[in-house]
Amino acid sequence: MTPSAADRMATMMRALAEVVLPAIDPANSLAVEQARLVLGHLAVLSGQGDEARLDALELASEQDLARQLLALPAGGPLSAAALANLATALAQSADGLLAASARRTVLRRALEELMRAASDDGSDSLRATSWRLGLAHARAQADRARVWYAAAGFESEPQISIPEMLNALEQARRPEELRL
Amino acid sequence: MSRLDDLEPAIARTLARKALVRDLPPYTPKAAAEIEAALLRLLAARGRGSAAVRNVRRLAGGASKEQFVFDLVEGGASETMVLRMDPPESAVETSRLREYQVIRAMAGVVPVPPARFVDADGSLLGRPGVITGFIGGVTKPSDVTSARISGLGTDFGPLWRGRLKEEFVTRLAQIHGLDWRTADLADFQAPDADPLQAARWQVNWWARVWQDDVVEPLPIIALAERWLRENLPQTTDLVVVHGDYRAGNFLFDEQAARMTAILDWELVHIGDFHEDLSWVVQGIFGHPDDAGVHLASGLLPRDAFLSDYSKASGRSIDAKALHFYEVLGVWKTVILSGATSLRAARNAHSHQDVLLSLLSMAAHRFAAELCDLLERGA
Repeated sequence: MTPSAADRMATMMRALAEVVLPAIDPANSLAVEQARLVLGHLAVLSGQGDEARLDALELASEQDLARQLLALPAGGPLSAAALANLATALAQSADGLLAASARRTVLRRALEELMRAASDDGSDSLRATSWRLGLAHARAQADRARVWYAAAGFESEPQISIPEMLNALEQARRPEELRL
Repeated sequence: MSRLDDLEPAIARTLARKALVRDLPPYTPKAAAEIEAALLRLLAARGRGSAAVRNVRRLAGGASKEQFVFDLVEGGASETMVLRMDPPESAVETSRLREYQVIRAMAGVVPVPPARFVDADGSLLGRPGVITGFIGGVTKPSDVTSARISGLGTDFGPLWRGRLKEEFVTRLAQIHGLDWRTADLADFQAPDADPLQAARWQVNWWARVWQDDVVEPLPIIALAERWLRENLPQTTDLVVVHGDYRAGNFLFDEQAARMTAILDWELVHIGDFHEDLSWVVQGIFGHPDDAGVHLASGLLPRDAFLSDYSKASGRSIDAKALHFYEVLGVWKTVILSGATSLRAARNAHSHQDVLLSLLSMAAHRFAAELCDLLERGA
């Protein structure tokens, strides 16, 4: 029987809160502060669940954005090069042999480069559409991440729980799009 | 020459220094005995070899610099002092020499701790550090209990808001009123080559930080940079910009109900006063009052803050410039939390790695705020 990550984190948190923290010399302010922060981190982690589910959804969303941008006319040489780079990154992002995080990083870097190049010499269409789509994508991605990290305490109470959010997003996509 | 090369030379040097520490091994927080020995080295080099260092203890809090309090005993007299020292990497890379110079320049202008010593290159302390006198006071009323990081959404309560808000505004106007051209600010340069340079230096500073520190690329960073470059405001009224003026970065005396010190000058530079205004009104530093009105830095509504500042300083506020600096400020917080803090934590280069990795989770809240601002201003 394999103990779940949630069970293991719950035991760690209890040990920290009930045994380790009370044993720390209160005069050691850094140790007290850091033990509390570790406890906070574990609480955030224990509420998040399967990170791979979120990674699959984020990757699919970034691939959508890349496909839409690749359909646009480039404009000058910087934008043409950035679009070619994005096409390569999109192809790499489908390579199941690479780690999901590495595929996302390559794709996001190419998207970031395109946003810059479009400003330098992009066609009117590329400039306007990359702005509109990029902003909409950033908004949706930030909103998902805010739910994911809400327990860190930088947010007011989120409108939706993590499982509800993941379920809703997964239902909106085809299963084959979410394979990592 | 890259477009990022047009930034304040002292800032460029500071950022270049970071590249030199990237490959250092993990950092171990300094013990009191190590700090005592380092302080004695510094004192000897400054001709104060007869002085003794007593009661070194670490100050809690702060995501950036390591801070220690100690007593310097010399000739029968004793003074309590504070040492702020750079870990190899932290939430932000800044200059202790500039901090020392501006604290000296602000003495008599606004309440600041007395500047005592600086080790700009860390040759004596082991890492760059600045030493000031210790000033009493609190960052929030002592009857307020909050688990929040200092200055983030501090609720002063109606009584303390009433007592502090006027001085909070007046002190900012006084900072901006300093005649920096005659002050001894040798390590500062003014962005006066053209009217856009003040804004452009800021964009280049933080674009460079993103380029150096990025862990996970984010297309919104490039989109925001694009908007910033296309909307640079003109600045001819150059002032000393504190750079981090907000709740949590000033001390006040609860008996006298007065500010005793303005702290954390590490982001100081010469630039546009709108930059400090936009920082004060950032969402993360405030909170809504009982009626749901957002209070800038937890002290007063945004419009009241801006109009009170205008009266106190005699300056007119340009709505477009203010919006530009609001975008810049939130963009910068995404970079500081989502890149620099995470990079420092990953490299195990700070005494506060666990806090920095927690702070990096806030980057998404800032990214959402950045989207709001860009949608409003596009």
